[in-house]
Amino acid sequence: MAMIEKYANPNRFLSIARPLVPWLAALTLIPLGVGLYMALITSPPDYQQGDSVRLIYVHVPAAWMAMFCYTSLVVSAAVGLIWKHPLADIMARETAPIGAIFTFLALFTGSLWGKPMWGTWWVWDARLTSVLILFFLYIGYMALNNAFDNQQRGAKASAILAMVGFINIPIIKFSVDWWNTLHQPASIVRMDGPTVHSSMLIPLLLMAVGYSFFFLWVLIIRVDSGVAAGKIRALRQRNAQG
Amino acid sequence: METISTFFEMGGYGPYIWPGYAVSAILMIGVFITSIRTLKTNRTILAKLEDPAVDLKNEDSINNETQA
Repeated sequence: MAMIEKYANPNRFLSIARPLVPWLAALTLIPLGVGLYMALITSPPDYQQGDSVRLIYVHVPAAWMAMFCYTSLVVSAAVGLIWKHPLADIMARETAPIGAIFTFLALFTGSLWGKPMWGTWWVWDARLTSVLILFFLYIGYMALNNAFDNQQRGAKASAILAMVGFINIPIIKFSVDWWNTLHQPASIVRMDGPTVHSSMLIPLLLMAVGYSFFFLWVLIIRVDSGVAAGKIRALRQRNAQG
Repeated sequence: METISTFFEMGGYGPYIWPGYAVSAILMIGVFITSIRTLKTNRTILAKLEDPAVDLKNEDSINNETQA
């Protein structure tokens, strides 16, 4: 708790976060570069799916990030709601667009994969439907967050929406177990460990690492911007009054 | 040349694979660029607002630009 209070000060947070940016850039670009090379060139085609399996290297990391970003958003929003730290509200608000993009990419690349493999661009199975709901939750969060003249009311209302929507995350994860779905069951995050061969698993994990650090990199830029925006708002209000 | 065209064909799945990678790159690079631009804009506005030498009430660029 003391640590949260210590780093909740926006300026202190930024003084730590800003120097990290070049490192985050490197930790994004190097794994993505190596991962893309392996994904498109050195990794093998699948014995059943052929080269279409290469969509796994953009589809799965996007889907993982869609869920991770939403979880991160809910944690930030809850901290903002309970302890009223302004930095938490800023973090939640700035996470949402990035998470929404990852969710869209998961749906888009999944659709591109589904057409040649399943014969359809879309099917209302449990996994696809629950990820579509996740996308709507992101959009709803962003709309509600911006719907109020008072920023704090917007943050509060959207935080409650986000927290209620969090039930969707375990639904997405376990949908392939709970329901009879077209989407394949888990082959990586499983109790018995991954069943994917290393020639595919390694580029997949590299892309996931790259996507994760990309998220942190863009988030810090956006939080920096959000802190400045808060100061601008306050100064403009003071300017208008005085 | 045959290997390059073979590479782009991706066993016939090229029309599905390349849009997937392209849209992923476009959107991820796009959100990065827009985030950097907003940061730079906000820093410029903030610097003007915090500069005591600037006449705040009459400076249109400070008072009318959005901060997102």
